Amino acid sequence: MTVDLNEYYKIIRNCSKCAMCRNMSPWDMQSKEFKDICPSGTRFLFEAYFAPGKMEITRALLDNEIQYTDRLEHIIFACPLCGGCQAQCEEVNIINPLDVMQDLRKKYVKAKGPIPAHAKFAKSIKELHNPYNEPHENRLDWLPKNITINEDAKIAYFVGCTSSYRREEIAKATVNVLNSLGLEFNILHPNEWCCGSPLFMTGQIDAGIKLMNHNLEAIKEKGIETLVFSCAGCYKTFKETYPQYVGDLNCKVYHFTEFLVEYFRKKEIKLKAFPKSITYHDPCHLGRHSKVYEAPREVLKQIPGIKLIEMERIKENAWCCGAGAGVSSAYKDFAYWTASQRLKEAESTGAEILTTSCPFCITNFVEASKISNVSFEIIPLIKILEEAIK
Amino acid sequence: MVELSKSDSHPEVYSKLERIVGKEYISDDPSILIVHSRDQSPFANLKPIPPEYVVLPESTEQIQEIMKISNEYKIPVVVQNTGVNASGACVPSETGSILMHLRRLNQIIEIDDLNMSATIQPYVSYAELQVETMKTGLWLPSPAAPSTVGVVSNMLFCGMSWCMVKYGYERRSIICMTWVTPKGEIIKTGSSAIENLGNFWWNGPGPDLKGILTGAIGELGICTEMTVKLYPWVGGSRLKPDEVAENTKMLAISFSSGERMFKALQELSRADIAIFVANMPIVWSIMGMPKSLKSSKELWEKRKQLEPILKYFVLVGIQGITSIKQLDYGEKVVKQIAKETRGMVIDFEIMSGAAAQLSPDLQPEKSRAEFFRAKVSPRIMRFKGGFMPAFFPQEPIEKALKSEELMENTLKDFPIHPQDLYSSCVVPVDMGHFGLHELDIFYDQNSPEELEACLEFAGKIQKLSQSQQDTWPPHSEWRSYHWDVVKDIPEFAILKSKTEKIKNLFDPNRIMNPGKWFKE
Repeated sequence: MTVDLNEYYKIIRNCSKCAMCRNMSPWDMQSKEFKDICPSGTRFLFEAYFAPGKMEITRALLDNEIQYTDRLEHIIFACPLCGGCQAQCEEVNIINPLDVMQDLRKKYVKAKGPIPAHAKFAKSIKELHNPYNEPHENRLDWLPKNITINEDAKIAYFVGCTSSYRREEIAKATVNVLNSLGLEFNILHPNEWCCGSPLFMTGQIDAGIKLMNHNLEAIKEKGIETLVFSCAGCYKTFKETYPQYVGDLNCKVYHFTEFLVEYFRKKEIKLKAFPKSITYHDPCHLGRHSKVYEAPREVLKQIPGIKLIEMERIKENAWCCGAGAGVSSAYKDFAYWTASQRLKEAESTGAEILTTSCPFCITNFVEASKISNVSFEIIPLIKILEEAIK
Repeated sequence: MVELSKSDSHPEVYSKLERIVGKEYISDDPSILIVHSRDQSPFANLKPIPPEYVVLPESTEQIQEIMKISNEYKIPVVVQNTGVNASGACVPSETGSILMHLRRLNQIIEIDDLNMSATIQPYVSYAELQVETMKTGLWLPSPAAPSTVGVVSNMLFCGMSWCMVKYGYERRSIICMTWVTPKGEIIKTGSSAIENLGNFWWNGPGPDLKGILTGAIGELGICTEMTVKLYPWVGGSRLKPDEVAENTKMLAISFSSGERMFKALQELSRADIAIFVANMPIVWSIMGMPKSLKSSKELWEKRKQLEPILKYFVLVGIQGITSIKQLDYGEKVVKQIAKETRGMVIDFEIMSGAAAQLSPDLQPEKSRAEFFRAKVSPRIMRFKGGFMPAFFPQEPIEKALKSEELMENTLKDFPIHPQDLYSSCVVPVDMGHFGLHELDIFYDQNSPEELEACLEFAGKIQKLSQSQQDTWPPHSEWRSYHWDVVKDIPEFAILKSKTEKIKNLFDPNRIMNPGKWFKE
């Protein structure tokens, strides 16, 4: 959620600078090597990049003690808004640093406009309804010909921009799984536009609201009652962000892992064995932002032969992939650095596969692995399920 | 409004500092500086002063070089380590300072399991050191502060752990130190003073220099490496947050009067069966156990129901130091002492269950982990945002009851708070050699009036204590020790004038964290 900084001023001042937000929970910590939780502070080191520093900066801005500088722009935007700080603070002092940082971006954009990299994808979204500068008419090019789409179905698969244009294998696997299970579903195209996550997360709220209104209208027009997502970012935007502006969406919202767990509870499905050791990365938008931690693990447990080996930082304590909230577009090196830290942690488990349930995380891991030389495969969770269902 | 001005020599100094630490590790940007202008103490909040430079050195040698520059230009240097500090000790008290942050000195250099010690750099926290040492069957108790605090800084600031009854004040665990003086010289203490001898012994030839650095509030130099004593740990290689460690058992004892409670505290301390023994204040339990602030507030409303049990309430943590078999014996001794002092022993599980009835999101099972690796202690800030240990006497344990009365009487005149927003606890230290008493005030960070009132109150109770109680308020604790609080006590002025000579010897240009203890 977002907060109004002026109203929040007193709470910001109450940050006790206890530093819990710099590391994972000390009660769950297993090693010094994998104890950090704040990519921004860990990478850029100055206290200003950690949540207590950002609280102090926010206070100083509200008190007109400082002005915007290039460095301040970097402090505000070189952060994936992963919410690691907030997850720790919720246990302790309840300052809600993530909410403050999101509103700080809004304040910045209002004063200075979006930063150039973010303005660039905003333009693409405005003109082509996706941040990748791809033609809107190609949005469904990934769709296999053998897939049945039911125009009258009350369930819709919201594909998302990343699965449509960059990680088509995730979109294909999702519809293959839905078809294999005999589930009838619809797709919103041509009225599926970017969910607006990149805009909401970079302080461009008004533009995000326009997309929200469009998408909600498209859902209403098609009479959709249930939405299924393969993208953690789109899911979070519908589940957490939209309701802040419009209240109840009158539509059930599921990440595919939640949807399948519910499905598996009702119907017994025989899955093929997948005899591999796997470690699972919690995407921030699915995990900390939406509090969905168990469903992906439940799906993996359904598949015979899988040995799940957890990393040290999981669930509320998970280390971010580094790509979110406009970081991969504006600060690519930082995004890869953050991902490489996670790859190192995944490597330490000895697992053969790193999997996750977000196409954006997958993309960043795959790109970073080209630099990091990892010994394991990176496979989207839905692809593993697709294999097991075949 | 804070001042963000630059001195005439700024470009020259900046460029020299940049050459030492590298371009990436220095900044004079206002957004970097402003962060270091205050902490959560009333001292810093009333007079916020940002530094002129923030630098992040990565080695002892770089720190030496920075100190040479600061001497050359007479620039004050303020050192911040993990920054978990509510005393105003790590923020500038003068304009134009260099803020030296030790974040890059973050290595555990060695864990020597044979000699039961660890050599660390300053930015290593208790939590980090514990997770690594527990793997080798050793540990260092975490302080009664967030376990994110740096071991080195907490020891130099005379921090304390819940386990003081067994292991004494934390600084007793310091074995050797490497220390950069304000003039940029290096002092090594203990056996590390002699090259290649190793970091295994406390006392070097001659006077014990490490005693000068501890308690000096950063005014006499910077510790860049420390060897600390570790203790046996048979509780498993990982702390399990939802379970009490298998080598530990917790018992609670409730008493009907303060006299009985203090007698029991004495007996429990000297019996040497517990790693912690503490009279827990009701307000801490209420703030610390519920996960949400809402539940804390609801529980606070129900506090009258809890008072009969929690007013004179002692928690005892028995630990098998070398074997879990020690637990049975320890429990028998605790029960015997409770019987003799007419205390009511309450099983911790039963007590947790009863507490859970009062509030939906209590985490009593997790509160046990707090004693080993503190996490939720900052919850005490939640009620009002500010927390000030206004009075921190260390005294012979028999005086604790009198101090309790003094605190209660003095608080009646405290101008701002409702009477209930304070807490007091007594912790026996060092097998009962002395006790620590603590009176905490919770104040509104947003109210300058409350900040002023806290300081005034702290000064008043210090003076009263000294005149009425004949206790020892000017102990080595840093918080009540702040000059602004104790400046009107004549004995302090005398002590200060004597210790000034030490300051001048080590820091003739008076550039090292000026104004925190030594004051011209």
